[in-house]
This record gives sequence, C-alpha cells and structure tokens, in this order.
Amino acid sequence: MKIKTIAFLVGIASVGSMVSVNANAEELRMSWWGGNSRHAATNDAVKEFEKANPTISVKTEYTGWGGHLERLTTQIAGNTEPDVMQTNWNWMPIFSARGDGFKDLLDYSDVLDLSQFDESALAAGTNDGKLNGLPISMAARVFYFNKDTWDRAGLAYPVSWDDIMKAGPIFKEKLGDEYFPIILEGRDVIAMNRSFMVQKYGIPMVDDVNKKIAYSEAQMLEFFQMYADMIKNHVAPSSKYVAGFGKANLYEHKPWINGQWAGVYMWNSAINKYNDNLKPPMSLELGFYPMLKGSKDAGLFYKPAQMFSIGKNSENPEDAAKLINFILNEPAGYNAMGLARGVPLSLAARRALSLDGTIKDDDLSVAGLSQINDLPKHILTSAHFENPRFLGLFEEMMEKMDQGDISVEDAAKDFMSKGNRILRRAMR
Amino acid sequence: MYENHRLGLLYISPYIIGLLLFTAFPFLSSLIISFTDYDLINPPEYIGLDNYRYMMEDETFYQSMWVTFAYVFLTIPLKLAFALFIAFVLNFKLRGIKFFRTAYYIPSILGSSVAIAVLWRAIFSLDGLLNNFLGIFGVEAISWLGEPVFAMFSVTLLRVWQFGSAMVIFLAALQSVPQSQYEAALIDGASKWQMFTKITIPLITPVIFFNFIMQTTQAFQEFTAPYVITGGGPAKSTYLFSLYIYETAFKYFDLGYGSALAWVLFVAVAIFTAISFKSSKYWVFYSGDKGGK
Repeated sequence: MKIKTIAFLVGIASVGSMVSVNANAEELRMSWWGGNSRHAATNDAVKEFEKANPTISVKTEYTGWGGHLERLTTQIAGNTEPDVMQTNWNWMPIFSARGDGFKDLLDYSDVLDLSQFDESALAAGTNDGKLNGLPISMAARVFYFNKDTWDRAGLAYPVSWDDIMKAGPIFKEKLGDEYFPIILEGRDVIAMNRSFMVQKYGIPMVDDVNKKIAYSEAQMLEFFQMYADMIKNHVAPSSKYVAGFGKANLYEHKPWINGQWAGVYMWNSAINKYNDNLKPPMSLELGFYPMLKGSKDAGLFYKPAQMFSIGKNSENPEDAAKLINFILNEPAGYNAMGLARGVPLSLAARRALSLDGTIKDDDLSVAGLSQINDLPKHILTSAHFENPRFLGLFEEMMEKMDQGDISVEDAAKDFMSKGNRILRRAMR
Repeated sequence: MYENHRLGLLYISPYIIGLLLFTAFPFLSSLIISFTDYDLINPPEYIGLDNYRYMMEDETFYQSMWVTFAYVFLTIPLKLAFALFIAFVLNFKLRGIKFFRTAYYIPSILGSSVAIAVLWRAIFSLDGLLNNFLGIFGVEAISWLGEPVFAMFSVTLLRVWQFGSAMVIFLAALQSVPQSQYEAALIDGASKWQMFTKITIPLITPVIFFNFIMQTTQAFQEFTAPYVITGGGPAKSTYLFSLYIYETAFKYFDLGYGSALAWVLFVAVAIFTAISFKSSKYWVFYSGDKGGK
C-alpha cells in the first residue's frame, strides 16, 4: 500500500514537472497577409527561428489581403491580437493615433537592431515619438510606361511635367481616341498632383499640426486645374470614361491589357501585377521622374510597403522583437524570406541579397526603388493623406467635374471645406 | 401538458437563442452605438445626438437617400408589373408551360449573388456584350455604367430581372380567382381587358400588397449589385444607402455614425411600410369584404 502511494506521488510529481516544462516553453503568435509565396517564405523563416530558439514556438496566422484588416481590427478590439503583426502604414492613425496602440519598439533595441534601418523609414513608423511599426520595405509611386504603345506613338518617355501634358494630343492624333499616355484613378491623381505641388511650393497636402489641408484656395484650385487639364489634353481618360467599364482593378480592364492605357503612376512594389497582365509581348518600363527646375523635393508619396508591429497586449514582447530581428536582420531569416516582402529595407539583408543575385537591377520593382532612393524626399506624407474618407471625397469631386456637375472652381472650394472637416474629425 | 410546453420551448430554443444573440442583441446594440463615437478600437464615447446632427449637414446622406428612394420607386413598379404580366401569360394553358414557368423562375434562384452581378458588369461594360451586340446594327457604344442615368438603369434592371419569386406568388393568386366570375362577366359582355381590370386585379390585391411590401423592404436594403457593378458610381449616382452604411462602418471605421445611418434607414422603411399599410384599406380587397375594407 505504501509503495503504491509513493508510486502515485512520484507519478503526480513527474506530471507536474512536465507541466512546468511546457509552461516554460513560450508561444508567440504572428500574423500577416499576402499571397502564397509570402506565406511559404515567412513560414520557412519562422521555422528557422524556432530552430535557433528552441524554447520559443511560433503559431502563424496568415490570410490573403481581403478581410485581413477587419479580422485584425476585431482581434485588437478584443485584446486578442497576435504578438507580432504585419501592419500597414496608414493603419497607424486607426490603431495607434497616440502611439499606445502597439508596443514601442525602441524599448527592445537591445534585441532588435534598428541601426540597419534608415531614419526616414523609422520616422514613418513612429507615432507620437513611439516606434510602433518597423518598416520591412519601402515603396513610392513612380511612372511606368508601356514600351510598345509609346514606341507606336513615336514618343520618348516624358522627362518633365510639360512633356506629360504634351503627350496626350500626340497619342490621340497618332493612335486614336481610345489611346492615352497614362491611366489614373483618384488615388493616383491625388498623389501625383501632390508631388507636383510639393515640387512647386515645398509644402505637403495635409497639415497635421493644424489638422487641415495645407494649401491656400488658389493652390487648391491649381491642384484641381491640373487634373482638368490632363483630361482636356487627352493625357488620361476621364473617370466618366473609365466608369463605363464597371468597377474593377485597372489592370483587369481590356484597354490596359491591350495597351490602350499606356502608363501608370504606381507603387513600385505593386507594379509587377500591372506588367503581368499586359498582352504579350507588351511590357512596362520605368519612366523618368519629372522634376520642376529648382525644386528641392520630388514630393514622393514615400511610405513603408508594410511593417512589423508588436501587439500592446503581448506578454513576451522581448521574444517578439527577437523574432522580428531574426526575420529582417539575420541571415537565416532574410535568406528564407528573399524578396517575398519586397526589397528589404534592412541594410544587412539588402547587401547579402544583392551579392547573391536575389536582387536584380532590371526587375521593375527594384529599378523603381533605386530611382526612388536617388530622388530628394525630405517632406513626409501624413498618414491622414490616405484617409479613406478624404480619398473618397477627392474621387467624388473628380467624378463630378468629369460628369459636368460642378466647375473646377467649385470642386476645389468644396474639397477644401469638406476635406478640412474630414481631417478635423479624423484627427480629433 | 406542462411537460409538452417545456419540450416545445426546448425544441425551438436554438432559434430563440439565435434570434436573441444574433438579431435582437446587435439590433439594440446598434441603437446604443449610434449615440457614441466608436471606431472599434478605442472605447465608445457617448456623444448624444451628435451623429444625428452631423447627418443633417451631410450631403452624402441626402444624396444616398435620394438615390435609394429613386431606386426603390423605379424598381418596384417595374418588377411587380413585369412579374404580374409574365404570371398572367403563364396562367394560360399552353404547351410546354411548365418549362417556361421554371425558366422564368431561374433568375430568382440565382438570387443576388456576386457572380450574377459580375456577369451584369460584363454585359453592360463599355466593351461588354450589349454594346457588342448593338455594334452589329451600327449603334455606337453606350456608356451604360459611366452615365449616371444609364448606370441606375443597369443596376435596376438586375433586380427587375429577378422577378421569379413575385411571379410565382402572382401565378398562385391568379389561379385562385374563381372561374365563375369570369363566366358571369363574359355573359354580361365584358371584354378581356375589363375582366382583367375589374375582376382579376381587385381579387388579387392582397397578393399585390404582399409582394409590394416584401419587394420594397428588400429593395431598400440592396447592396450587392451596386457594390459589385458600379461601386456606387459614377459620381455617387448608384450609391445606395446600404453601401453608405457599410463604407461608413467598415471602411471609415466610424461605427457610431454607421449605426445612426442604419437606424435612420430602419425608421424610413418602417414609416414607408406603415403608410403602405394605412393606404391599403383604400385599395386592397379581402374576400368577404363589401367594397374597400
């Protein structure tokens, strides 16, 4: 009886010790959105991390882009967000307007090597002095043109803003009414015109301090007039014309596939899907970036293509920071990741991947990034510039102008007053 | 007896629990949320009637409301008239009539699916099927989705095309009209048109009323077609109210204002339905009534 009791107690003790061993093994959760190649690469990098850190296990949660924000929002609202999350730059005002929605990554700089990242990139992930998101790669909108259509029009790619304006009538004359040098959606127009305005006046569109649009009424009118001139000069099809094709991604429309819309002002990180949809043998080439004489800033909409953040409720933020560091800065991590998250921003990763030939200079996205890196870009873009309501208002004004419902003057005035109201509400 | 009562409640409890949890609770919560500033992340902040006040100055609210009423008033008469016409034709004893009854019902089975909306977009697109067809006769391409009036027409047509369920109900009603009344009218020398307007229509007014209420409440909540086909454009010409509610709550993360908009829609539909019910005593005739009830 005694022996049985001792055996029972030993059994209990051993079970107890097993439990305590399991309790010591930490589990991290990590989430991201993306396509299959990103899922596979990230899972590989995570496995490498687990090999190097046997006391930490990582549970991965990944989806496509569709519905990811809604899912993450629900998790954050319920305080059940993952430890490590892939985040978007323009989500920061939603989740962490005061910098307290995510952990401050500066607190973990002993395990997370931030010296691999340039300061402007870190600034883009900083809210109220707290580094809430570490940019993985950077992107900006630049010009890409359909080589074949521009050849047929007998034109060299535009070098200046004037050249862009002059290309429209030539396209119309040589190729016909359905051919345009460039295709622009509302969000492309607002970013492109902002770039022009920054070059001309040296001020961004959104004034974060005073919570309003930074332009004067005359400048706002110039902003809208620029779009109206582009439509008048056949540089880009009007929103009314494009709406005739129904709601879809631009690169899915036949005129894009057939090369009738012969250029885009697009994120370098997203350009390959535009190129891939062209009817062979057509292809895109990187254009020149137009600069006004004497301007000190290109006015690029330069922002992190994606970031890593640590959840504010994470119980193991140090290990979460280690995981981020492993994926972005350590060879086993960035080699597994490759270019699945764009051209890495981490210096160590970029250097190594260039040396082994993973980063190729002739890739459209890489070529775009090197152009971006060469352009002056000191003026930061406010995260509120991408406020969906603000963008929606701009698109509405454009459409009303194109439908002939309002004049350019009224569109500028209306946008100014309603836009200021939206910004005030967003920044309250 | 008491045991049976408890057993009955047990059997229907999944439905009751579902109703309370997934309908009644969100319904009442949204009313409370409509008095708050709530972005889903930060705790809701009570702001009284601010959301409703903001609505009064919100041009998009008026635009969207106007578009929704235009959509409802365009869709419902067309759909009911078309459904009644087809039901009337299918009520004749013709060869292969069962096949036609099935064929006309098929669009309703497909329902308001995204796939049908995508197909609709492909038909009405500038380079779509309809323009290609018209091109055969030398007609120049029409921007069905780019011109506000045509865009509304294209979206409306999708709902009108799905007339099957209303048609089947009309058909059942037409078959229940007593033949003796037609025979008596025939003896009195009534024409076909007179029989239709003086006998058929009055006798099926309860069914017309039922279809009217059902189709109207559904039309007020239409979402899929404008979302997929036009995205609410061009220039917000097909920006139905449900689309505005969705974008406000889940694109702009303004759940307080989104809930307030949803409640305004609820009240608008309720008022419209109440007026319809009130007016029904002047034009809906139930069997056994002497004149209008």
